[in-house]
Amino acid sequence: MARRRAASPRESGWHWCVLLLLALIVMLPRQSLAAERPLVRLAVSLTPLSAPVIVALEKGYFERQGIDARPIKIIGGHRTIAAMFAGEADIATSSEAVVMFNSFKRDDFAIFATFVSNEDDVQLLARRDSAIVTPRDLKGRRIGTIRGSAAHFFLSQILVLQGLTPSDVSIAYFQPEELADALASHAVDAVSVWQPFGLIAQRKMGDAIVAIPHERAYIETFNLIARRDFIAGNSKAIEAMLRGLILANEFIASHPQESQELVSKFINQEFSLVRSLWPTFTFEVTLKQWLLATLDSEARWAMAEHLVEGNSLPDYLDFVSYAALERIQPRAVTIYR
Amino acid sequence: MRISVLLWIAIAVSSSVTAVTGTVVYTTLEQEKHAGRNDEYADRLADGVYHLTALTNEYTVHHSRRVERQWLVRHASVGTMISSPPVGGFGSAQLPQMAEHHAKLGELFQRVVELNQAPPNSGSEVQEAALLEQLRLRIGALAEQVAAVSNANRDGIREAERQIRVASWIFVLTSVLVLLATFSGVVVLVIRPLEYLRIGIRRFGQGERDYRFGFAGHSEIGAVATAFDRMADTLYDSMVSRRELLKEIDERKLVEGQLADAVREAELINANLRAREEELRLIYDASSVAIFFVNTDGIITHANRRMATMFGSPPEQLIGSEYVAHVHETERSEGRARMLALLASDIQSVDLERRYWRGDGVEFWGHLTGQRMLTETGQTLGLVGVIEDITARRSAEQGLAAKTLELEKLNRDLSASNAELEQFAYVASHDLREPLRMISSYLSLIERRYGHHLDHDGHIFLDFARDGAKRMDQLVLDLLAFARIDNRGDPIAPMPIFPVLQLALIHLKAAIDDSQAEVTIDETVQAAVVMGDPVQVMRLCQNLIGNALKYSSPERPPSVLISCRPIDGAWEFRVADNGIGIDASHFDRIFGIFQRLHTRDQYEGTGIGLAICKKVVERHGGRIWVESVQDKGSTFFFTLPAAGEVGGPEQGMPAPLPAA
Repeated sequence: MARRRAASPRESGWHWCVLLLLALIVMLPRQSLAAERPLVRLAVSLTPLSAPVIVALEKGYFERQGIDARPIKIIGGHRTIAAMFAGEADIATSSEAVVMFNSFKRDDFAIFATFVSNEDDVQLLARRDSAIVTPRDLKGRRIGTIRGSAAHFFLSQILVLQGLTPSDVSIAYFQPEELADALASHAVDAVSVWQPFGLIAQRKMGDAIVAIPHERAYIETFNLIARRDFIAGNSKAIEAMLRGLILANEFIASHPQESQELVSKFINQEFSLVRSLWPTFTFEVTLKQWLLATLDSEARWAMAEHLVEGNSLPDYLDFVSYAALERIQPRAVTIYR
Repeated sequence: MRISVLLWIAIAVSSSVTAVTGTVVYTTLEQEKHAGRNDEYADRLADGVYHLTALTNEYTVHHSRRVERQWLVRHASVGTMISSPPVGGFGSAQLPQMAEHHAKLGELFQRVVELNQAPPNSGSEVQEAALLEQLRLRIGALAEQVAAVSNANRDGIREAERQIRVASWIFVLTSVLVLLATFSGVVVLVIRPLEYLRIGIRRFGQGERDYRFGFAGHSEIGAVATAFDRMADTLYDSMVSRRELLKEIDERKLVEGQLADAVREAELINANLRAREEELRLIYDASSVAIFFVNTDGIITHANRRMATMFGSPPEQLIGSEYVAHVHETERSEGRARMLALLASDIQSVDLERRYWRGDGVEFWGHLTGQRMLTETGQTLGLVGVIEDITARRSAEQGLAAKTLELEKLNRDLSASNAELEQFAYVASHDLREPLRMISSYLSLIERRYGHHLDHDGHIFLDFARDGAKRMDQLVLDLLAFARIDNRGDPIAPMPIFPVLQLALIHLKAAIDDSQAEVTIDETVQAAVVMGDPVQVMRLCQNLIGNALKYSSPERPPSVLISCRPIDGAWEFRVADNGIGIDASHFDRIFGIFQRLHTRDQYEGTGIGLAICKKVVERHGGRIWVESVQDKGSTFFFTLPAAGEVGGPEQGMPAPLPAA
């Protein structure tokens, strides 16, 4: 057995000096950084789609990048962006649909990164006894959805792809949490709803409802949104936030279960629910060209449905700020330029 | 070839090959790098063309401001790429045409935008369709040019890769050739000569001093071999000189050693001589006899102290005197004549007894021995004489002769007396038995005729009287036997004792059977041959064995062992029993005549048996004694002279018996 050599007093003193010096080297920059660390108020929508932001917050990746990110937990993306406009938050997490609706009202904000996309977030659910098997069977049926939402847009795109017009079906509007009861009470034959309300409805009704397979007509994105003046005046904080998100996505790839637990705890949802939704997510910090096309499509639909006031299409190039992301990860930006 | 030259050539060739190949590879890699940069450039151009295509299509559908802006931005970035191609890129011939297509695209899109922004009229849609068609055609042409650039770049990359492969193969082959050539050179110039050198050095080291390499080439190893040969020559010469020197040293050492040995030996001899001389001087002075030397003139030249004492004169008076002057005058002339005869070698020596005169006028007897003293050449130096004073002996001899005569006379008287005594004893014994027989006869007659008149006591008294007469007769017989031992025995002659012992046992058979005794004659007895009278020896043995049977212990059956061993020209016999034993205080008494330790009621006998034994043994010149422990047993020892040589135990005789 190796015997540990007792350090002489002289050696011991020398060791203490080295340790003290190392502690100073480690501690001093942190203290100075903590003192200079800019505060960023983050309005986080309490949905699994906010997973990268939640993981970055919980794992301290934002702090590691030099910003003091403080989360404001809010249910619903339209509320997070509202909080941002109200000056309660600096950055909001929200879907691109929320951006589209607000683009008709103001043009002082922009998306500076998409951090997750999902082709299967919105589902088409039907009562099993309604004999709706494919989207084509929707003709003449009563369909429930949330007016002016991504689910509404998704429903319109499904109908278009099936050669149907809104007049071919009867659309009824509900709040998300009401759709399950609407199905159960035969108020509607099918619903178009986003997660986790689809899963909640399936749990509630069990085999009485089925998910109708569709052509993935809509890719939902979750984005970081900020006012233009904030983006212009806080480029370092924006870049730090993007780096934190990239680290969070790497952690999610390598530690999916721990990430799911963090998200589940943060949004106060069942772990099994989060885990079941997880495979449909693509965690990637990007700014894609098709985001602009999606915004255009959603805007044209909104105008056609009179969901917005105004008849001119906003120029969504003004609602995207790709400079920061282009600086730290150029290949992540595919917007034509 | 020298090894260093070989190494320099190898290094030069390797360096040249490496330099040429490295240059080729570097140049080719540079070309590949340019090609790669051009390929990336072509890819970015292709992306730009694709983006313009997509944006054009989108604009065709929606005419949105965002698409218009993106188209213009992307068109500008593509233009920048066309106007600033990478240096040394491939496909530079296509660049002017690409620039032309790019410029035309801008013009066409601008006209489409203007048409869209203008108020609609009847022909605007057709015009727009035509313009868009032109736009797409131009984009297609630009795409083809970009593809051509891309293909040219890929061809350049493939060519660069081929050149790298060729250069690599050339480098590898050349390296292998250089390595093979270097290896061959090393084998021929280094390894083989080194092995040759190693074998030679080993042979030299194993003692082959004449081994030389001879000429071993011009290489460094050849030089080493030549140097080794020179060193071997020098070493050989040195070794020869050294060997001779060592041999001479050894010889000198040998001679010195021999000289030293001789000196030591001489010193030893001298020392011995001195010691011998001293010893002789001591003997000469301390001798109990007179020693003197006489020269050829008969004058005493040396005389020791004893002579001075013996002749009563100091040595200085003796030395210088004539020898015969000291001889008794009655023998003086005869003494002179004998001395002269000895000096003249007529006689060899003298050894006689004669009378001398002491200085004080008293004569004494001396035993003279004389001898000549000779030189190494045989010349007579003189005489040496030794005189022993025998006056006392002569007187004793004279007294002894008188005593002998007296003893002879006494002996004769004693023999006569013994004969008379023996005759008396014999006659007395014989005559004594006659009245005893008469007493016994008349006692028997009394009992026969008048027995009926006698009462019981009378019969008892008669028995006592008859028993007394009988014992008296036995006593007389024993006395007769005792008296006969010395004078009526057979001659003493060599005899084996074993048959005698067997005869004695036959005589004792009844007693042995009655007592159920175990009598053992040790095998050692079979070898014993003694000088003895067989009848008396048989009686000796019979008496001793009979005693052993008689005095047996009532607690155990009798056991008798007879054994013997040779001892100093005699045989010592043992008769050991397990009987009642004898107290040590009686050991001498029991051999006396008529000596008994027990009453007749206990043991019968006259008490003369052991006395007879003693007398028999003494007649034979032997000795008899006893060792005993009461209640354990007794052992009687006696010795008889051996007949002839008696072997010891080492000659196969039995080992000495332990004492009983």
